[in-house]
Amino acid sequence: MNKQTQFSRRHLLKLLGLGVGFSALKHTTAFAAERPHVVVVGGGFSGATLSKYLKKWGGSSVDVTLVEINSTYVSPILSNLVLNGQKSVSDLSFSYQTLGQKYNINIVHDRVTAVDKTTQTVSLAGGQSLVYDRLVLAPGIDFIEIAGLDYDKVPHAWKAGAQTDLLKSQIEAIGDGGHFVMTIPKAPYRCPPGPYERACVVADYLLNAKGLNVQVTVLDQNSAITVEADTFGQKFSEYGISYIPNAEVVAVDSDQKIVSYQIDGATTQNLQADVLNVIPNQRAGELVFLAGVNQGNWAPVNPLSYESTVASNIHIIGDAQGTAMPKAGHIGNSEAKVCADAILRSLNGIAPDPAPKTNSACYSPVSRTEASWLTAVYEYRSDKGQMLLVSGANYPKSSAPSTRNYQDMFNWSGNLFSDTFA
Amino acid sequence: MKTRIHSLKGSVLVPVMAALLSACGGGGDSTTSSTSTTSYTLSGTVPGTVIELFCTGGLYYRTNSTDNGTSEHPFSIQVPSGLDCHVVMTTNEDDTATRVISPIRFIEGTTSGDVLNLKGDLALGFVALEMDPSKIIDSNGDGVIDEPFEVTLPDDAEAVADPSYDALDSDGDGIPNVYEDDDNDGYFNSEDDDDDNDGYPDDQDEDHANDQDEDGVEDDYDRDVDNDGYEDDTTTTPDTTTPVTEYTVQKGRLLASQCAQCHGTDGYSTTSWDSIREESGDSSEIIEEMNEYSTAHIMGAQAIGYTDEERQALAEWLSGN
Repeated sequence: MNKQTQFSRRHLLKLLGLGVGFSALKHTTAFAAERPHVVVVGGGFSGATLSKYLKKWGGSSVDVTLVEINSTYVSPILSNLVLNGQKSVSDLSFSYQTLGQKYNINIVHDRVTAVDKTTQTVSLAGGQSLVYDRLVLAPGIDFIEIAGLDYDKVPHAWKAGAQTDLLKSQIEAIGDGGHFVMTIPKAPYRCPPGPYERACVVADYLLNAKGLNVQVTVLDQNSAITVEADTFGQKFSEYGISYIPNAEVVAVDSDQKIVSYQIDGATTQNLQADVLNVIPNQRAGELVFLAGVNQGNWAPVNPLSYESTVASNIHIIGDAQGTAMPKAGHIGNSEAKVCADAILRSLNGIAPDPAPKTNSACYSPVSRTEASWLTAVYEYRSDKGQMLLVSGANYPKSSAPSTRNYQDMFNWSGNLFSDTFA
Repeated sequence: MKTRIHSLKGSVLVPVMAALLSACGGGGDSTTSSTSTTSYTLSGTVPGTVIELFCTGGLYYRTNSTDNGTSEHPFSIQVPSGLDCHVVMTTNEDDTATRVISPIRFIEGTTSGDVLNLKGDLALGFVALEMDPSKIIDSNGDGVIDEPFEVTLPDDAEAVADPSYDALDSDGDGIPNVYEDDDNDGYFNSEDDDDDNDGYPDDQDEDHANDQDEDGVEDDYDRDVDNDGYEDDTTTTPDTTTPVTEYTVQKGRLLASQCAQCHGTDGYSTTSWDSIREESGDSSEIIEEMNEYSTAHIMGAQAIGYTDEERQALAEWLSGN
């Protein structure tokens, strides 16, 4: 018996070119109709939520297999609080046990090596093949390479876990007179307020908690603070953060901790740091390119179903999809529910909801005691075929930092985490 | 290769062994674990037999038939609804030389399948299992019949399932993984320390390291890691999903699910923020709450993104209407 390869019976018959007649050779009856199989690749906020809600709403009418290479997920949400010692990586770690056991999702810890759109088959590094009726890709982001950048020396800490701990240990080693330099990627990137939040949290920690005389410099590849400009601008002045917009990162010396950048294409300038945190520009996770469903850096989708506009029966959700909605865990969870509903409808021959809504919310700590929030609701505009901010509501809405918001941040994240992983 | 069949790995498959060692028809005790989900009864009559079910999530159920003095011994076993199960029946279970292990294939009208998914109680009637090992087709002599034993169900049973991904029968031959014998050494993989006879114990072979009972479900996701018939941690498996076989369009459900990021799945909050599940069935309170917050509050800032009709639909769903 070969445990390495799993074909569905239907697929095997297809390969053998035998069709229904094959079972008739041995049995007078045909095998029962196979249940539809949804294969989900990527177990972050969007992929985990999608898997859960497919089973929650579809029950035993659908089989769901979640392929995720890691056995533990570390949430990037709240991970800036690891840097100032308010949280640990283990506080932000989630297993796939509940999804597997409570919702009867098949969890496979493996890596996808190929997607065959004709036979609707996903191949895994371990040798297994999965035949899908619908494939959902939720690979998150990948980074666009920067010359000389070695993440083991200059962490991005934009995917949480070991990278977060590495940056934390470097920050702990910084002394009086030290210089913390971080770079902010060009939009669109994962978690719009995140980099500004990080600059504030780190500055507050080094200056106020540790009482160090440290310089914090932010090189922003954007022309201005992209979100909550009032909140972050005010905090930047309060912390004495040096903010340099329009700074395109062109190279990094990872050993010397030197970042080279150009402002509006002018002469290259160098900045040396004691701790350097380069968050590179981003594109969809590699899987989107492997499956050939990208257009440029992202995957174009129909936002009613998140089905790819370039391949049928393949859906892309979360940070990798190419709508104008922000890239973040909360809205990834939101998109996943619209996608799950659309897939279940489609498997039952029903058109997707013509007017879905999604929402985004993010609490951003700016110190050890205060946080701000940012929120918006998106609606489907049939004239444009896009999800856009609900008109007339003056979105996005935000709130100045407060201690109340800091407490609410954990009420928000606690329910978001449990709605995704439990 | 193994020296003795009974030198099992640790406590793996102890209950199976207990079953094998017990006398034929030894009392009909069932080790069925209970969950809060609906259960159905699978029943029938057999020659003296152990009935085992290998189910979704690595769950394991077993019972013995009861010796009532006739040649048809009754059995019944409770199975939670919504579970896919392979059924295996073993006669002469106390003697490895004469036992006959019959995985069951179910025939229902014009379809058949090796997996049962009960939609109600199911009575199989008399299952005329073979008791004589010399009369079965068993090419490798392991006591397991080569082709599953066919049992015909009532046409309206709707109990035959065909999962697209069957972890419990990786090669799809109808013989559950625990009764496979990869290296034909006379020991099932689940009993064999070295399934592929490569000289390295299974726990050093990567593909087995994480599956104690070798039922095909990795330990992390196996609800009964040691196949003792009891769920390992019932606290992690509360009220699970109600199987839905037909999708019905519910506008309010999708909208209400968009509240769950902050208020918890189905409106049941796990933090000190409010639960918005309205147990009283009165949807007006949810609508009132949505209307009363200012947009300086995050609830108000969210609420203005939804129309009156949308608020009504999601409130009705959250209040069970």
